[in-house]
Amino acid sequence: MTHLWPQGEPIQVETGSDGTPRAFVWRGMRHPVAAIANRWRVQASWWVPNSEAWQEYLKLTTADGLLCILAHDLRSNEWRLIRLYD
Amino acid sequence: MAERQIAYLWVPEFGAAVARRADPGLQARPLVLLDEHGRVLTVDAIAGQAGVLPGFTERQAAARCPEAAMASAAGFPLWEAQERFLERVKGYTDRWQADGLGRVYLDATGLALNRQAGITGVDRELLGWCQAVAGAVRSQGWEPALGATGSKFGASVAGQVARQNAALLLAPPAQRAFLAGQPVPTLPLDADVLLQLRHLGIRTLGQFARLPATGVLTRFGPAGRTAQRWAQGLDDRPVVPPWESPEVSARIEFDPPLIDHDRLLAALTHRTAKLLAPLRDRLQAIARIFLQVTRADGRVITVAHTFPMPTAASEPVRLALASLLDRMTWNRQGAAEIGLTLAGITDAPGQQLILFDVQDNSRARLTSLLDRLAARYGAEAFRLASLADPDHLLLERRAAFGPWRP
Amino acid sequence: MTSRQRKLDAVVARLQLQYGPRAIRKATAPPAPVAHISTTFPDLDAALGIGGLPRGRITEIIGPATSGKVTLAAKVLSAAHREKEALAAWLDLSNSCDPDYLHRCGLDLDRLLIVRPRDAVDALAIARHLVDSKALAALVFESLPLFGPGPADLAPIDQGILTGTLERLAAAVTLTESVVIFLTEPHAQSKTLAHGASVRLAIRRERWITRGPDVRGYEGQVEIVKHKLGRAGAVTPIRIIFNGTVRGEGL
Repeated sequence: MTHLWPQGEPIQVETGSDGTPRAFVWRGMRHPVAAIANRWRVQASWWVPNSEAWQEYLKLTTADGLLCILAHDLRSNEWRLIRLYD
Repeated sequence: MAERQIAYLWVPEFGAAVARRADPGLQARPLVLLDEHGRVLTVDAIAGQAGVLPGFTERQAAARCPEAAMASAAGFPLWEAQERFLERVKGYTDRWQADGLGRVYLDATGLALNRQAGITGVDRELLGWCQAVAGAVRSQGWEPALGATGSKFGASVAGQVARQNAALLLAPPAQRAFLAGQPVPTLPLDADVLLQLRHLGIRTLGQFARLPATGVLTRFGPAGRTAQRWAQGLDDRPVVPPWESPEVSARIEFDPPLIDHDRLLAALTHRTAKLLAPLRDRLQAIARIFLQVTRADGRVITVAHTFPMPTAASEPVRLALASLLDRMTWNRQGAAEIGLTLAGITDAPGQQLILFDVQDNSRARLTSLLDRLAARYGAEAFRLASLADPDHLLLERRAAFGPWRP
Repeated sequence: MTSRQRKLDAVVARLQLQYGPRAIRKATAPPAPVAHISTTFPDLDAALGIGGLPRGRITEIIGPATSGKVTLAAKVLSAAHREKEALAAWLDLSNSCDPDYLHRCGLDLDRLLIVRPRDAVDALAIARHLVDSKALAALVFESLPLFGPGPADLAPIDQGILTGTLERLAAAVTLTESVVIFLTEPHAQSKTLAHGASVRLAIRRERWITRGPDVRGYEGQVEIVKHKLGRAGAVTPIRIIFNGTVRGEGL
């Protein structure tokens, strides 16, 4: 299954010069990114006031063996862990 | 001594067909006929395939087959049709035993005089006899199916495998191989036992037959062991005509006379359960209950109840006892003594018991438990998820959580 | 042993001595079937010897994040749901249960109770009530301590309470036909749970299954660490593929 956090788990992301995550810290543990498997952008509900979402998802693997999806809110620049595969 | 030959003749959807002859308007939808207690008495093929079983409540039946028409069996001449059906077949053997609406066992032992067996190994005279019996029933406008082999269980399974207007005749030695491939629910076992066998991966009579006998006896009791013998082709039950069907009795005395109906019902239910237990072990059921009540003023009143289908299940029996007590004239007199007779002891019909009742109750039991737990742990602890928007672009918005639904 | 048995053994031994050990062997009764629910991974079912995870027992699946332990548990529940009207429960201590993924694993969400208790003590008590009700075909308890310190974590449970509750739960499960699965992180194993579980499986991911750069699944291995009803020690490869539906395949 995947673990899904609808509100997202707060994380701190270290990015490279191109803005791609190199590592993230979640619950006090640092997870170096091994590879970006997929990424896609979503703009949802732009027609509904206060409901608009402009988000990039990154599916990535980490050096310590996790497969997860990070969400990057492109307006607030906030990063969250949305999904962890297990 | 002649080898046993037993035939099982049945008319599929007999009850539904009688109702539809009386009311052609019932053709358009699946049909469920209810007994006096509002429980399913008989169904047509479509309602049966939807999973409606005899003994279901109307609500359970409607949940299985929402489009079915529910009608009271009392509105149709079912029992008259049954009498005419039995009259037709009685002429072909002295020993016959009804097995529900449009179903009958016929003892054909002794017919096997002509030893020139056909390719199938089945006696030609038996074949001719079966054709004659089926023809007699067809003349009433029915389309019967017929099975015949060396035991009642084998014959009933063969009859049910045979299609309408067809017969399946098996030489007795071929019976075990035939039964091996049949599904376990053809045995009249408790819903609990059938579920346990399913969980064990036992799906066919052959698999069941191969289980160690002592293990079956230990786990499933004498009823399970009896059923296993049937699955092995070792059913030696005779065809028992109605005038020979046994009964069991008991007397209960109340000193002082008891007037409280709830306590009378509890005492009767308890005593009846003791009489029923050995019958269940032998996979038998009862057709009638008689109560002979001696009131405190000395007056003796006898009441009787006939079950639409033979049963050994506790709930229909309890309902019948309650109904009998309600029917009596008490005149504020208590009961000093009650004579209890379970009559018409016969074979328990296959698939009589509610296979899905255990699971049906699961959701109700769980909901009832969650209602109690919610008070202690908070209702928000118990959720049901749904895919409110399975294709939503945002992954986290696809599902929604709500309260548990009964 | 009866004298008859001893005589038989002596005859068998003499014949084997004379004609070799293969000449004659005593027939052993086939093992009695054990009520079970398939894992949906045919090779793992075969390795377990009983066709799946045993009913009326506790199974512990141990593995780190992304090992596939949660998918394996979800697939067992999907097998439970193949039985008409069977109910299952997921004790979701981390509040991170993913219904979309569970649906893709084949679960009927309408027959899945999701429990989100306040703490682990409540979780175990609720699990006990659910088991006692005999209303469930399967229950997944995910999981005792969690991924590490953080706001969503639950306070570590007192070991004394854990021991007592688990022992009572293990006893209660034997009176039911339910499969009870505990999911455990390797760093958070409990001796009590290890003792009370009839089956313990250790799962780990070996390699990704990719299409181009995208990860579409993973291959892993399941080791049967403990098996009270069969043989421990077998290691079985499994594949988990998520591509629309979540499929599991034995290799």
